[in-house]
Amino acid sequence: MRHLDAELSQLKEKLLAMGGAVEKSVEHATQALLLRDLSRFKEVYALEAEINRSHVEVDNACVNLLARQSPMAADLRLIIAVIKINADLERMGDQAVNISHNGEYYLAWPELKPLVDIPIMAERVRVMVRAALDAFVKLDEKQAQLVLECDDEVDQLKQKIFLDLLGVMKQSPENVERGLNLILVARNLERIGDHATNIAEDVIFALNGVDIRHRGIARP
Amino acid sequence: MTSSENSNVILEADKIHAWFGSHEAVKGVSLSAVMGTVTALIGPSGCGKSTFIRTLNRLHEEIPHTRVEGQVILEGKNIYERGVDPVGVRRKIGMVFQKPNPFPSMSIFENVAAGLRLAGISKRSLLAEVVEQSLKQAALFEEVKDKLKAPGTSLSGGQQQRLCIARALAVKPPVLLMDEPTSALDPISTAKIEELVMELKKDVTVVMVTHNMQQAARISDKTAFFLMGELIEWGDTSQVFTTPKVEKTEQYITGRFG
Amino acid sequence: MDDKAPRPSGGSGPSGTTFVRMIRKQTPQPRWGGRRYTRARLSLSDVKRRWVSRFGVFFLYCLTFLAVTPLLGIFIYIVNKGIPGLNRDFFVSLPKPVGETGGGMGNAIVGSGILVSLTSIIGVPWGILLGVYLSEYASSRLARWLRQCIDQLSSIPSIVIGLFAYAMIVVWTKHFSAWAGTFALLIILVPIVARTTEEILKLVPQHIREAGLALGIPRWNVTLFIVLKGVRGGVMTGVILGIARIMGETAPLIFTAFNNQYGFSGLNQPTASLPVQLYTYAISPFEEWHQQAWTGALVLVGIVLALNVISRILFKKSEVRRD
Repeated sequence: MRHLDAELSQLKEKLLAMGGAVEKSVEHATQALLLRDLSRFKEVYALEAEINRSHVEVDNACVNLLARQSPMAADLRLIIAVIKINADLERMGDQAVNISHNGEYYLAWPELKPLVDIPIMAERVRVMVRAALDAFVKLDEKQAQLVLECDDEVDQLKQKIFLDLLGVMKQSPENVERGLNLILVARNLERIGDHATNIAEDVIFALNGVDIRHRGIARP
Repeated sequence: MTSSENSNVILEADKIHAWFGSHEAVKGVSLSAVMGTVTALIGPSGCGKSTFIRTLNRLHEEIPHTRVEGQVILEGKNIYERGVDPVGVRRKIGMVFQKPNPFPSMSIFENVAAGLRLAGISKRSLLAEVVEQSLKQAALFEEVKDKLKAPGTSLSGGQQQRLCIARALAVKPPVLLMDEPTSALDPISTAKIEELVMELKKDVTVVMVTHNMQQAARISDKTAFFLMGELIEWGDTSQVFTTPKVEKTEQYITGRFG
Repeated sequence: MDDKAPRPSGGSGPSGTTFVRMIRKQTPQPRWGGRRYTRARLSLSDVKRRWVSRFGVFFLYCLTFLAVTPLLGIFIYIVNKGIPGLNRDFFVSLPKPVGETGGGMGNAIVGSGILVSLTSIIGVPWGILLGVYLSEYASSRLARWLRQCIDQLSSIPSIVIGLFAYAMIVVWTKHFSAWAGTFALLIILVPIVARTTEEILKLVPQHIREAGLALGIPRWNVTLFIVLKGVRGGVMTGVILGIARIMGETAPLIFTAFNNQYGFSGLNQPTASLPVQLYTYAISPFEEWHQQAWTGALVLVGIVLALNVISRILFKKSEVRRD
């Protein structure tokens, strides 16, 4: 086996561990909100520190690999994908923290309304994150396509939640703060979905060198 | 360098100067190698890196009209001390050269056994054992085990170079010097030698001159950059190649001169 | 980028090659390629050039033939003249007095064998060691000086060497002897062996020596068991050529080993040799001796030729090994 292969698989493992932490973090944040369990937010903050540490580590490892191994072709695409996925994962971690902040605020008040669409959306996003990471581990294009398909659904859910909450907020000024927090939660979930989409796109790039982002643009 | 690393220093050059006639090719270089690491010496042609490495096993003085000043401390002893026999020094510091140079009209077996045999060991079973072990260490045994009696020069360039590595390893030196060991080889053979070096460092400390920066980046733990006979920068390879401290190093490794 | 898009040319307007390409596109080209096309247009100067070349090559053939002819001539002539006297007696019998038929050059063949063997036993190791010293150890100034001396020595006419050996040994011991002959032949052999050894050792790349030294092998060991052993074929070639040379030397032996019609009788005694015997017989007025001389010449040429061929084979072998 090439020396580079060993280093690449180490790098993948590191990134995967980070992905696991992000997945858990998103899970804890949404579950805390849905189950009204404040203790789970602490987990999110703890994971955030871990994710940040991994973020730096993976970046350093990538810089070292690029500088020392002069990777080419598939190896090069993989490392570039890892760099981008790393950034996406870190942002996802941040979104989970944001959800926690909004959630803590929201839970400090009595319930505004029974949550219906947010749990659905959270479940969808969770599936997306899991599928994106799976696609990366197995370098599996099918899984990556699955993520891309989920994205539209999540966007629509967010739109629906926005409209619903706008209606509730218009009923009474007292509803505005809680409504806004729930809107922000939905928005952060949608962002997490977007990052998962980015990951899926990067996996496809790493896999066969095809850039499927921004389809309107003419490519050289 | 931290003190814990310091205790594992196996080879240390202290203010080495080397001359060819009146030309000073190495101007006061101090450098040390930690046990079980690969140190790469890089720099443009004529920067003194090859001359420097040849002072480490007292080979420089074999060229007429040359001179060396300074100390090289191998396992705590200065090899340039008065009364030290260079022959003994060289048995502890192996060397592999730029061009594969198996001894002419010697078989593969004889080549690897040469160092031991000429040191007075003639017991056939012992020689056979060491030859096999050294060839295995040099990742050549599988390719040549059925033709140990064939001339060493009948092998391909890359195999010859691994034969030379096996020959150097046979006398079990704690340090192995390599002077551009892959510059005469094709990419596949080069990759094999690189893999080999990374394997070898478990058993032997490697100091290697290379004109190939990627090679230094790939396989070394420490990198030293030479320019005009001086040591410009020396540090962890990842540091030297990502954030060099000296402007000259940056310019060289980014290909702006040299 | 779109492959069909026209490539932008460097300057304004079509460049030279673009222009040619444009013209080419318009002129139909023969499908069977440019070769026939150019041949049809062979210009007058091309025709002239070809003839000059043919003539030059022919001229060189002639010169080569002229150079080889004498060799073949001599060989055929000697074989022709020598064969009649070639029989078993020639090799084993002693010369018969004038007037008697039969007899041979047994004394001279044995004598030559002894002289050449003795010279080789002493001279070959001496020459090789001298060559090794010159190539491996002598400082460049001393080596240059020694080399100069050796070259001068080998250009001294062999008759002068014979005279010198006579003055040094024969005058001192007051009689001709095999030793005196050996002394003279040594002066010829040692420089040849030394210089060829040196030249061959110089062919061994420096990094082979360094590889040996770097293994912690003492220098004299590297020289003898790695460097010299590696080119032993080449060195042997030099040695055999040197032996072939002294085999045929006459002049140094006339005043030293002299001659002996009664067979070998000790190293302190005059000793016969093929060339001297040949010389003596050839200048004699007797017809039977002339026949003997021709046969002797044939044997001598045969031996020297055989030695040369052997050396060539050895050298070829060593060449193959080195690659």
